[in-house]
Amino acid sequence: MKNRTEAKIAFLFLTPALLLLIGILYPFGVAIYYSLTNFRLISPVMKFVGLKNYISIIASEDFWHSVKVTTIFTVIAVSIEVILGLGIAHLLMGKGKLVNTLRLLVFTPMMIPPVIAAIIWKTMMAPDGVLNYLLSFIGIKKIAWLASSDWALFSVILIDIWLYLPFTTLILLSGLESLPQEPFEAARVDGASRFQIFRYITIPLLKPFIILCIVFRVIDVLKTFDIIYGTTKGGPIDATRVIQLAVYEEGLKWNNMGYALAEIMILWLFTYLFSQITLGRLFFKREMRQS
Amino acid sequence: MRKLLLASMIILVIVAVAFGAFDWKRFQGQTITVLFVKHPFTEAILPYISEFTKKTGISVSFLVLPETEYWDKLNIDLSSGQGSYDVFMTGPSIAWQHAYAGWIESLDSYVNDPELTSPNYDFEDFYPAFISANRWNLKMGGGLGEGKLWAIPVMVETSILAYRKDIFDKYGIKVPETYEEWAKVAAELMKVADKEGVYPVIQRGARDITSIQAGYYTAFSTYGAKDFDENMNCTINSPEGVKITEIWVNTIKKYGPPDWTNVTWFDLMERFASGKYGMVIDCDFFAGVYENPKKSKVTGKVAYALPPKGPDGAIRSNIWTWSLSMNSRSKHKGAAWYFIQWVTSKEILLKSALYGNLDPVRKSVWEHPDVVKMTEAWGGGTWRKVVTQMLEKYAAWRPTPQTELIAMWTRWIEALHEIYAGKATAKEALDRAARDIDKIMERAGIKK
Repeated sequence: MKNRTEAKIAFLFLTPALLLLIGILYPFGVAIYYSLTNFRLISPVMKFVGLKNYISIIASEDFWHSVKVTTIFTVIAVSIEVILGLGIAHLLMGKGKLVNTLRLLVFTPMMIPPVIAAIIWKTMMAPDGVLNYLLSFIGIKKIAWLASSDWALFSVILIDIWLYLPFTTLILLSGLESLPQEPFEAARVDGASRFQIFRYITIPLLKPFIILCIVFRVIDVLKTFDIIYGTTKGGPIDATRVIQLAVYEEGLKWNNMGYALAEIMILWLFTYLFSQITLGRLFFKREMRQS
Repeated sequence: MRKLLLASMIILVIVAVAFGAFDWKRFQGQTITVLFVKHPFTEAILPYISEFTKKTGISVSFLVLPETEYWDKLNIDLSSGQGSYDVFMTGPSIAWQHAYAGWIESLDSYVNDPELTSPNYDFEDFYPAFISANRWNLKMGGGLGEGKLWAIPVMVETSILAYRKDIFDKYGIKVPETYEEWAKVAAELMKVADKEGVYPVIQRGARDITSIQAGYYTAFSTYGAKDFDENMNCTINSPEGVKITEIWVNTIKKYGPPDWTNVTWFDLMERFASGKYGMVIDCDFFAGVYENPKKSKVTGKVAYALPPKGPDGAIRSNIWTWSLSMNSRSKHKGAAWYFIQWVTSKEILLKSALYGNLDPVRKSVWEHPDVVKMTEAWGGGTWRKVVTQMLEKYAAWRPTPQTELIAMWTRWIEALHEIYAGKATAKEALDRAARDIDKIMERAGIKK
């Protein structure tokens, strides 16, 4: 800093960001505090219980079931969204009226609020709904979709894919269009096949975008609530009871706030570590390449 | 002449003072905030709120929310002690939690105070069972109907049997009088299901406590089962509980909609009204929809009967009664009481009943000629006959008072889902659920 006035001005510019940070950290800190107590919404007394909530959660069958449901949901949804997104992005490259119209169509689901989409899909997935009706034309018998504890999880995954495929497609498309053309031309000149170009040039160059997609989607999918609440509410039985839904039930419906906050903290910890590791590798690798 | 005039004026003043102890304008100038659930009751009351303001000088600001969001918002406000809402809608099981937490005012002192309650209020006019449902002495596992009054009811719903008389008559099917007969009638209806385009039965099944509340709890209680014993051990897996649950779920599985586990009370009402079902044991005042040709395809085809009897010949319908509570942190308790009193007065409850807020909780409203006229045509007269008996004899609040009802009933509906999916027998699923519910009770300190 040249002088104290410049320092003061700099600090002034920082203030909004600092306020925002405090605004976010304060409820976060309060949540950590409550997670260490036996706070119940309907109870006037509350006492510090240390890690008791965390231990109960880790010892709870329900929790690990939610972890299993959330993991299956995340892995399948994100994999399909990224892989299909890459494919569709490829098809949407280029210019022209047709491509532009197709892009508009592909991006439409992103404009629909997830809860509305959930309700629409719930209606379409009814036993005598549109989906089964259309499938009957190609000879597929009625699928129970959201009503079967075996199919419900895959049905909500389908809804998530429908909603967020445009997102991954968008990121990967902008990634594809930003790639330098020289490596591709060089490879074509060298006689590389399309598959070889894809595998040895496109993918490595796209890696930052792919990782970005994965990280964004994983963080988002781990938090999934609206799609499930709008359709099965965690059922049938507990087939779609992801962690976020369990937290909502425990905290807001059954009044066990301390317990619910501890469960949310565990989810946060995992999400934080995941993003640190994956994004860390992304930036670390970039730095290595630059140096 | 002058002396006579003076004397009569003095008498008039004395009389006015004696009767003027209660004054509608006592709290004029104050503002209260009311939280409403999106419900026919709310739609019936909102048009009249300006009348309240004119009468009392109290302004009302209000918020209407769909049910799920309503409970979230209410819980957050109450637990934070903000006191943002002076009056809000509630029900017995919810009021238990609120009373236990000290969030609501007990209302006896208001009802019994002649300076705060109009002489025309006529508290005795309420059906006793529905006032009882809102009384609790704060002792877990009992005390329903005793102790303080935590809310005043504005409507009540009982569970009755609604059936397609046209189909029953056409095939000579008899109205079932027991749950075993109900299952048999469903089987008979199944034989003509394709021809008539109906599934035999529909019931609530979504993963929500409202699925336990109405038809199922009525069947459960009627069959002689109870949720807890005197020591707060969960007894939903008693022999009676297992038997009725078996009949209930298996009948729905064989003769009900294939997506039963997602059917909410709203879906149930819409679907029966769309003409695709033969029988339903559920909320009586859905008849208002079934009998409305603008909203239903089955107007004139439905008749109503008492719900089936239990093995001991008794009928024990459960109820839900939306009621109004006062926030214990309200800064305008007098004005809030005036609002509750006004909404639950004879005149306003009558007006709301005519607007669609049913069933009435006041005898005078149920028997008022306008209400009789509105409802006596429903089901060819069967509806009024059945509901009168329900209000007077067969309907009461059945569940045992405790603060963990929501967690317990969620676990209970999970058990029903397990039975439905064929993943467990009724006994296995209910045994497991009862054990889990015992754990919930232990965790909450209700059971040792």
